[in-house]
Amino acid sequence: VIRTIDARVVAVSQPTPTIRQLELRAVAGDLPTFSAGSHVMLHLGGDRPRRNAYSLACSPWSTSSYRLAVRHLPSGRGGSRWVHRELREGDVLTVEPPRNLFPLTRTARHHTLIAGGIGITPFMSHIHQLARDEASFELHYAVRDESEAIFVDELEALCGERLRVYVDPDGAALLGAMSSDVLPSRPLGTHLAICGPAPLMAALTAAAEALGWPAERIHVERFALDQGEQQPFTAADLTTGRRIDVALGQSLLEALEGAGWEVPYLCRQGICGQCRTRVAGGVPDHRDLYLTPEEKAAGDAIMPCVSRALDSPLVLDLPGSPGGEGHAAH
Amino acid sequence: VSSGRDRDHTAFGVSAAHTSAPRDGPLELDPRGTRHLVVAELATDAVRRLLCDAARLERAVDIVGCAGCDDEPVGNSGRPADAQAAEQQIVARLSAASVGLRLYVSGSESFVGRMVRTANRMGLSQAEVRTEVHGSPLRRVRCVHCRATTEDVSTTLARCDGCDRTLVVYHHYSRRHAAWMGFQADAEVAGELPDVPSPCP
Repeated sequence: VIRTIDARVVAVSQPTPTIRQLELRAVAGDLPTFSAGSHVMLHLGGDRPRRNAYSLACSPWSTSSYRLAVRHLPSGRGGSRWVHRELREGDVLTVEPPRNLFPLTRTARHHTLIAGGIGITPFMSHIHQLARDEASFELHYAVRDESEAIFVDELEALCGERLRVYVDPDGAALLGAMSSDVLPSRPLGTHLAICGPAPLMAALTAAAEALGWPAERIHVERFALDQGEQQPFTAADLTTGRRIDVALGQSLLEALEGAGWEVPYLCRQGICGQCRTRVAGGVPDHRDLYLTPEEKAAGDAIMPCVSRALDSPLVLDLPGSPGGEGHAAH
Repeated sequence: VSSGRDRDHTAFGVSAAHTSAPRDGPLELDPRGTRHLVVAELATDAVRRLLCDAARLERAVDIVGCAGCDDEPVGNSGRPADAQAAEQQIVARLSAASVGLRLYVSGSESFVGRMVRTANRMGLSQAEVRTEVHGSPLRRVRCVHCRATTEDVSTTLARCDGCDRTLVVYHHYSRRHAAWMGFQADAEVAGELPDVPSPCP
């Protein structure tokens, strides 16, 4: 079980019409330090409680407060809407400790960082770290409109000449500059880190691979999954036959937790692989980014945090028994 | 001459299946690369095949060929006399190179190891280097006691050039030193050497 932190929202600001910036302080003591690229899960209120992941957009040795930037996603699951409409200065949030799915490659000889829109947030801790390490780096930051750029003064102070901002409604200017100028000319040992909208990340990754960048030099942070169409379905426990209904808007992982199972998890976004669960029957509707195409085709494993079922019941080989009794001894 | 690859080390509780020995070959052109640099100690079929593939795919190849590499085209800076000169030439080329380059190394195990070490120091990763070992199975062995490197070792037990100890050449390869690990063979009981097929000369 993850130890959570109670943190008070000590400042709320609205740097752009669609981005709300929060400053959090621990109700008691200091916040944990973290590694560059980390995020936290916030437990958000609203009609249906949920957890959302947000990058820590501040220096990694900031323990007095965390800074987050939350973009309002009208098509999202409602978490960002709650932050924008309901959350007030002085409110206390439950925060899970930082963890990192987007670490810096500290052995890189040069870092080429590319941010699209709200994808700038994980790079705030990256550049604090890189500037302090006196590492070789550059940051390319694309925004749809000048009014959507955030943290610009701080970025200019930390990056100087190493910052390039693109006002680029469709990402074409950024992609063009990367393909023709940046990606063909970076020194051996450079690592590429990309965070932004999924189509932009896919296009940049494809451009880099076409220019001979091996996959191990390309790092992407996926901050939003397109969940697509959803249908309610039923899961069943292989051992007991017990049925678990998964409602519209609810994940399989949430339904299992609601029924008393303790499934290990980290990202809850289909990225980390922690919640992998064996499938004994039924057809999974894979929506994660973790399983390989071969594993997805085999259909004997599922990431319940994001994936669903194409038919009911989806029979799961769940570890242990519900109610927190842990793994059965035998 | 026994191959360097299949020495019997079972006397020391290890096998070739549990070794850090680099795996290599065959040498094939990586079509995802945007520039291709070949370093060849010997004119081998592997290098000729690579050059044919490059010609067929219309990819330019830069070649550093060593003295023994007689009938191959040579790079602009001339033919390096030995591994050390070859290392200097690839350092010069790699320091000006961009991501996208692929390095291909053909030669003896010792030669390949030294070039891969140099390439790694210049920032190339394993995914960007391909190798094929030919010819001499002689190994470089680094003594864990005096840290000297002994060249041209062909036996499981070998005398250290630095401290004169009798060393076991262990199945542990250091990419950083481009050498195999050697440690004192009779450390438990002085003078009691393990029974191995190829005795120390």
